[in-house]
Amino acid sequence: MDTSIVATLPPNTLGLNAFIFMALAWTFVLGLMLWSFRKLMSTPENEKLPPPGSIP
Amino acid sequence: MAEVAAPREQWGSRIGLILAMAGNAVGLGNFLRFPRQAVDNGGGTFMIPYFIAFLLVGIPLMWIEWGVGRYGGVRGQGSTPGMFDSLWKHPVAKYLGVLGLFMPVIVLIYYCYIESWTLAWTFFSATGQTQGLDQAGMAAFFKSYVDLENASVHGFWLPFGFFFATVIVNFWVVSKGLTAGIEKLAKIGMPILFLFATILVIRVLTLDPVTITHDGITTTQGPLDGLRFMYTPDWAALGNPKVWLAATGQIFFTLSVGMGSLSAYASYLTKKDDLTLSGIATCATNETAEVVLGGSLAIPAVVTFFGVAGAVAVAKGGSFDLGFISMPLVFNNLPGGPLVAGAAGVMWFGLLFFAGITSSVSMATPALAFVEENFGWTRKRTAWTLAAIVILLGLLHIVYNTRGFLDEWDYWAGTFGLVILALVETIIFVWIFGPENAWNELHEGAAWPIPRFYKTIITYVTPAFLLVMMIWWTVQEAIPTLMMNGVPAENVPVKWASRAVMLAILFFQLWLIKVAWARKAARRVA
Repeated sequence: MDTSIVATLPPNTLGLNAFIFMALAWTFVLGLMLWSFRKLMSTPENEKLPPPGSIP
Repeated sequence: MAEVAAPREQWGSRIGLILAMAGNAVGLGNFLRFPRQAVDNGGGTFMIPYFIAFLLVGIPLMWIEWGVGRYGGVRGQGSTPGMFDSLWKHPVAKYLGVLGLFMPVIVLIYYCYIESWTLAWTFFSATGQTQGLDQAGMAAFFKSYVDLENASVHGFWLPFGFFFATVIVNFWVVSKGLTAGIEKLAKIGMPILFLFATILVIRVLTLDPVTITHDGITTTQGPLDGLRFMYTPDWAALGNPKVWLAATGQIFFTLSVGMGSLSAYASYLTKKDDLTLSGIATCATNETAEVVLGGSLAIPAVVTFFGVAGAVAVAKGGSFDLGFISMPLVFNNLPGGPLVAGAAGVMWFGLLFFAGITSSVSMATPALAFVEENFGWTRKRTAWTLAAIVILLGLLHIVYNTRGFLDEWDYWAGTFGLVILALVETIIFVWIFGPENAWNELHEGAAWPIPRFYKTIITYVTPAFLLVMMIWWTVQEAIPTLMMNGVPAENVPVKWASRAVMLAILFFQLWLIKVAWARKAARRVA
């Protein structure tokens, strides 16, 4: 672990390199989640039979 | 014992299924293990092998587990002995399936114990018991709970009480069944988990910078410094094979693949249900919880209040020190006083509890399905019998926790065993059942066609990754762990006892499989 990386920039700064990696990681996972859920929601769900024994 | 098992349940809704699957995957590791792995393995550059492993191992294994599970499920098999037997008509197949019974049961037992810590700390946070403690006090508070030989703060019996309560809650949920128990828990627990985590992330990332003095050096640091510490790339790490294996290992643990619990859940799907897109949605939900929420909580918070050097010291202490010692200290330092500290503690440990319980109920599912289907026991009877076993064997973990009893189970079943089962099920599903059959099985009822190049990845790249990982871990870790290198002499008998209990459970399950198949053969003859 390189602990010197934080000391070289002003306090509470993300820095360009870290920002790029974080933005790419977040965009990838959030994008994948939104894409998959949107596509799933636009696909009709199969009609399920009621559980066995639930119909009198 | 009745001879005929009850008809198999089905998931009530697609969203319920995905939340349950994601709940299975999202666990304590998303919030405690991931940030430490990223910091230890190159920061931002860790994300490169991490996402490559996600695409080449994580997603394919998720599809394979779903495919194996549904194939077995439509043939009335809810656990890996029956699933493997359906896929591969060979006498040894069902015995290989013991791995998918053994590992979830072993992990379930010690996982319930660790989960009970989160329940206890939710209570401690709500009642203000962690407030006003300094670092040494918080460490003593934690040690007193997990080490009964030093139980001076909490007393001897408290860990047993919370463990008992955790097991009861878990098995009350699973005894209710799939839709009324597990699916309902996921529909309640997962939104609460995401809500708590989001509130905490917003609070942590909007903290003002704090000036601290560590080892005589005064620095001012804020949460963005924590994110910078975590994400700043170390390009040299990309050439280090250990970083690649750490990333693949993290993907493995975080998605809960190789455990047998995902395939047990998938066994309740029908041939008309989608696997492809639902599998990706499950993976993506887990990754969002891990990368976006888990990565933005503990490290930025700890760096803000303890500085980078303090965070490094915390990380070296392990994930539990981070979660149970440092985070309560962070909450004690939040502006707003005891009320805010208590609320933050309840949200942090509450989200860990929900992350834990949505995983542990899935670990109970393969064993429950096996007994119900092969011995005709009712859900309730099976659930409460397993609960009694979990309580009895869990007591050993509570008593011998600091002697390495839990570490043995965690290594052989919760780490090394996962790669073995993943490799076995990949070989059976893709190579023995056949790449074409596997591909077609995955596309039954599919809402989205998997890109064609994934067929090559699933057939060759994923098994190759697993094989390399297994060989590496065998040489680097399994052999030294087996030889007990570096284990204090006084802990050796406890570790051998731990292994003996594991082996006894393994042989008992093998015997159950033998009996179950003998009964099936007898029924066929009759």
